[in-house]
Amino acid sequence: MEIPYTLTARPDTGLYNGKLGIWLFLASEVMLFGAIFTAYLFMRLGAEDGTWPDHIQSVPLGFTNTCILITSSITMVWAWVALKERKFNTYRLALGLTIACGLLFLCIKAVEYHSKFNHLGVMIKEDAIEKYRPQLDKMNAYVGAIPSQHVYEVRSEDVKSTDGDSFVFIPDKKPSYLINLAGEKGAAAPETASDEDATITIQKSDVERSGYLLPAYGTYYAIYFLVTGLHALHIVGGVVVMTYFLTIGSRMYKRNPEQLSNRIEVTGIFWHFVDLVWITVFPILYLT
Amino acid sequence: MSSEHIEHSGEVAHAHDQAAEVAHAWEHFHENWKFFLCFFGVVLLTVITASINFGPTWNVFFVFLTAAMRCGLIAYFMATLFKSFTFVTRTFFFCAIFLAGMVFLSWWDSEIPGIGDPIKDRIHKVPTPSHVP
Repeated sequence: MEIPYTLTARPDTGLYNGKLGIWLFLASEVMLFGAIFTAYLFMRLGAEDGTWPDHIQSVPLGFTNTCILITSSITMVWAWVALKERKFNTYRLALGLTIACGLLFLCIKAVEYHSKFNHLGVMIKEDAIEKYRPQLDKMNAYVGAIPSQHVYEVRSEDVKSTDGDSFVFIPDKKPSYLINLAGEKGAAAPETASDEDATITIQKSDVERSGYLLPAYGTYYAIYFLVTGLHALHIVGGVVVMTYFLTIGSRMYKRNPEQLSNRIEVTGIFWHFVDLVWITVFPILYLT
Repeated sequence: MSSEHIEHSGEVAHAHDQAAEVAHAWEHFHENWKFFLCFFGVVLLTVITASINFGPTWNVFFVFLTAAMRCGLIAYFMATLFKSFTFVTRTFFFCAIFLAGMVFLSWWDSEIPGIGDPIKDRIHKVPTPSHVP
């Protein structure tokens, strides 16, 4: 028996089976991401002063990924239009570009994750910070106060040593605007003569706690890895499905091109959703 | 007549019109272009606002200007959802609502006493020395 409404819309719903299915699935996805974004909101509003980092993410990388995903959404629809026009080669080109965009997004995300895995955070005790303050100020280093925990946070992407009884690293500079049109003086970091001058040594006895910027380091990092990790899994899922439709699944084109175009349309709806989630994630995690 | 037969009749009633399908697909494609360009515009304006320092005098002006532009872009697409008013009325109406919301949220997120974040107000404040920008 042939399954009805796989090709054309059912009159009462106006949707064919696949489209109805994907919208139901996306409804569950909205609930999933909605719950996580709500958790983010409450954790951020309830965060104690200094515990919610700002300007910790790379805006250029995040923005590049945004551009890539928006482009991939366009090429996804292009693939669908090409199938409707029965232009198989154009379909393959457009879908291939979409897959490439998905993979490129994942590569950039991997670079970002890698930098977090090697980014050290050190919480210096309140009564020991004055020992290091002159050198940190001279280096224009970022020093974040967490009054409720009586510590000051210093971070570093360039760790020289964590062995023995001290940390040796080049501290992160104070966050600043990417472009400064104000012409304010004194904003730039002082020039340092050598790498040795740029490093600072913090005694472990002066450190309350330390760690790499992984979920265990703080609430922000936990929600960052949760949201972006879950989103990346959706990208992986989309890429796998599209690769199937580019290879084995494309055989359907000879047998039933309309059904294949419906499948691509449904995949596209999912891909647009993944894109929209990222457009929400980018400002709340990167631009705050 | 069985229910199965009725369903199949429904499918026949919506017979395949390839030319209409292609026209619809292209229309959809162009709508997508506009939709995602709008999103791109909103994101780009947000990045510009967060990444460029125009100086203490001009920052407020440019932040407001880019906020208004973002609201305008969002309003442009919201307006397409409501057909009972003229396009200009709809766009201005939504733009005003979004801009008012954005201004309110900015104030609420600020540290202005009495207006700023009430949760932060409750926490004992110690100035953070390196909170830039």
